[in-house]
Amino acid sequence: MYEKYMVLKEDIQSVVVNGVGTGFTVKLRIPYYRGVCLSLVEDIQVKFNGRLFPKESLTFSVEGGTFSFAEMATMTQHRWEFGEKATVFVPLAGGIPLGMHRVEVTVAIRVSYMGGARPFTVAIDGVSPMGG
Amino acid sequence: MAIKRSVSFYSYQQAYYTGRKTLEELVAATAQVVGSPGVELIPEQMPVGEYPDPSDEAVETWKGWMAKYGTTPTCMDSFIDTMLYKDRFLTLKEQVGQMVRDLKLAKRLGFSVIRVLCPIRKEVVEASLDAAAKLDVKMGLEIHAPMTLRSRWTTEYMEMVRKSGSKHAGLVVDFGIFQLRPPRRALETAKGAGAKPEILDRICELQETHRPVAEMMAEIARMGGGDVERGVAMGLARSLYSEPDWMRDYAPYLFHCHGKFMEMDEDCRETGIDYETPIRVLKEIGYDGWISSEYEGQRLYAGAEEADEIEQVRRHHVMMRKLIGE
Repeated sequence: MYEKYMVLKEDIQSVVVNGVGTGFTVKLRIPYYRGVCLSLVEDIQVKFNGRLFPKESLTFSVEGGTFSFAEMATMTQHRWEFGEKATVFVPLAGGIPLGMHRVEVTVAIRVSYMGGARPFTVAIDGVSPMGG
Repeated sequence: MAIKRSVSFYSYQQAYYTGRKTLEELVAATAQVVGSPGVELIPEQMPVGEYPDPSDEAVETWKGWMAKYGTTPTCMDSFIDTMLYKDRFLTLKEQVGQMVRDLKLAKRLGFSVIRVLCPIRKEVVEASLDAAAKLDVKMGLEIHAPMTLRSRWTTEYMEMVRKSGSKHAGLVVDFGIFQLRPPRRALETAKGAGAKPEILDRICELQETHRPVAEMMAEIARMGGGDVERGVAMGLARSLYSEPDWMRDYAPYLFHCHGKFMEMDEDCRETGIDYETPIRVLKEIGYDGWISSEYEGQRLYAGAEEADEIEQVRRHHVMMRKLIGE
């Protein structure tokens, strides 16, 4: 289920501000069968054609607002709900270039009864600046 | 009084996750397609309004659905995030705080039992007894494989419960502890990937006689099996079996059951988990609580084909009606 629905290709989009590509966004559903407090999101990483964007470089938006990962570590009231599409902004200068690309997303949720976080990765091929 | 039928909405997780069905539509399907009078909810999965503090309006809407579709809230599934913060575990007091928060939510939504996740320490339940009594909501520690009805964790917990004299702490039994075979679909997938049928038969034989996975692995090696056969055996590693008769030890403390199932066939039979014996035992001990269908077969599908969750739950209720004797 998560392999198929955590990231959809059409949910990867360039972000253009005043005619300049500033990066791209990826919409993510949680790879876990319930929603969690943001403090339980242990890690998110995005790779664009193999180039790593660690969590410190990303921002994360859910219904409650847009946050950095440093902020999320202490957020126990705001939640990422089951099935909710969170938006992750990836600061790839210029946005998504022409051509077909590979985007890999890793999400690790801390699951108390499992004793910690297990990273879950999905790779999407054929990502283009036209979306999808 | 007799055993009553319910559905855990865990069963419908894919329909909700993908946005194909809303919570209200799932309540409607439970009543109208499945014909189940009971509803079990994981509020952190499909929140009524907001978890953990829905508005009064959201609670009224929920109660309105229960009235409109003729359904009854049965059990609410609680979690306690002991690892809420990265660098430390929650203290006992903080864990009790989370338990009480869920007891209050259950009360507001009309649930009379909450499922306590099996690794939660008995001290947390013990320290929540007064709150549970005041709210009159029961806490049932879930007996879920690889835990058994006679694990030390279970017996020590029950010792605390008995000593306390409380009527608000007991057990929730997950039928996964009565698994006798891998689900049919797992075996078919393994065959499709080249597993030898005689090795799969042997794995099933060993599982039905409750032999440990280490013994399966040795047999697989002896019979010339490979990764696919080993994968099937590993899928059973956590399926520690409990004798249904062991439920008799705890008759007054059985608050609720999870009718865990992986696959219902065309004739409405569960392909891997025993239902006849446990339901017979429950009847004999006069259990008059709910059994909630808890479908978990979504994970047996890969690629384009997907589980039909509502149909699987419907078939599960056909079986339960027959076994309960409705």
